[in-house]
Amino acid sequence: MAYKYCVAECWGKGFITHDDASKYQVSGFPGNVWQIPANNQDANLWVNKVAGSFKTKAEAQAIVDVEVTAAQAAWDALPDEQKQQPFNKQRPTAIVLE
Amino acid sequence: MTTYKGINGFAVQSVATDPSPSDEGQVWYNNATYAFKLAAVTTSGTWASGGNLGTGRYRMGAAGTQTAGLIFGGAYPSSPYDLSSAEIYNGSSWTSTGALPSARRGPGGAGTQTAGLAFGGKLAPTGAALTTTDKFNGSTWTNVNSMNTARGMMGSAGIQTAALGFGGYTAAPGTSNATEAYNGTNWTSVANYPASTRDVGGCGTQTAALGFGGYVTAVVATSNSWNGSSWTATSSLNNAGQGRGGFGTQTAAVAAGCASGPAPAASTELWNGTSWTNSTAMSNAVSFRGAMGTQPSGLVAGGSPGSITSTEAFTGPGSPVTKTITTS
Repeated sequence: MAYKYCVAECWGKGFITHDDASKYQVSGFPGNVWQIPANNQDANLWVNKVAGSFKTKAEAQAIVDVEVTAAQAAWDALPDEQKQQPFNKQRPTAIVLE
Repeated sequence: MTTYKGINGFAVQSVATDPSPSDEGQVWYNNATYAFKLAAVTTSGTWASGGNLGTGRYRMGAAGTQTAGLIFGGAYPSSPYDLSSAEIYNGSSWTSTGALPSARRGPGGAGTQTAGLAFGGKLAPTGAALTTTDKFNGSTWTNVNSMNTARGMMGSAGIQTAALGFGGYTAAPGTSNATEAYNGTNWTSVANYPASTRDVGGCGTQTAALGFGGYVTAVVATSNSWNGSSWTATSSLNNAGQGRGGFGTQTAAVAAGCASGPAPAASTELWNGTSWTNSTAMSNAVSFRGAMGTQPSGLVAGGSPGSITSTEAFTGPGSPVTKTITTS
């Protein structure tokens, strides 16, 4: 399936409505990157509704990479006793956009 | 020309605010948004954005409903690592309320927004497991009698005066199969969960609960039902994972998101009392979310990666919903 990407800040309730979700899938990624199906008029209107800024896949991937790298650096900076707790979350992994 | 009034004998109402979509097939015009609307019934579950948390967190306790929610404690990715703060939800926005007497991550949660229960938990700096139990009255927490087995990250079910905690994560070496029932005053050990499991999802009541997923020596897809005295294996989830947001009942449950390895997943599965089926995924791939509500009307909040503030509201299949009529 082909996708398009945008950047928009989720303000909370009303950002994605059940009406939106019943028509198309919106998937979120770090850096306020949102993935929508390409060639979908309703999804394009949603980007307009949320004042989103369209990004190419490469631009969106770069934004996600920056966020993941920062999260990895934050994890690396944790004290060792934090990293060694089995119940603590694992080191963030890279995300590859489809 | 055929008109709506000609067919039905009355005109489409023009209103400024959408009515409750409880009457399937009802059509109206919203003159504030200039759109025709339709009361419909969902054929599959959908997720919508909910109000953002004041403080992002994961592995928190949760109780209540989609329109009257409560979350408390939890983990934070940097100092102080464990949180004591609590927030309440009114269906649109979160407000800070009285904090837990002490910080913790992974407490069990039961009850409602005005009669909640927090039990057990873990502390990040030492890995210590807790037996601590606190009651919430809508504004403040009161410490009450402790659990028998110290642990956090357990499955939980029930209400403030009849709660259930099962499985969990103790101090080293790890997982627990303990099940304990709370009668409003004391905790009593009852029949063990079938396997020592941490980060197990849970929902239901003290006498009709469901436990699903979790981590044994690896993530699992197992599911078990509780009848008040014993556990029975049920058909498994479609996807193995730990840290699922669980809500609903023993016969109509939702498992939302999970960690199936280093990366979280957005997958959602629905339980109908007999089997688990995949449903619409959440918008965000997040695990260890606070979860509350029912299968027709649920809510998940926060979660990991990071300690996100976003929440998502679930409307289950067969629920009334407002749809906008378009020409395409």
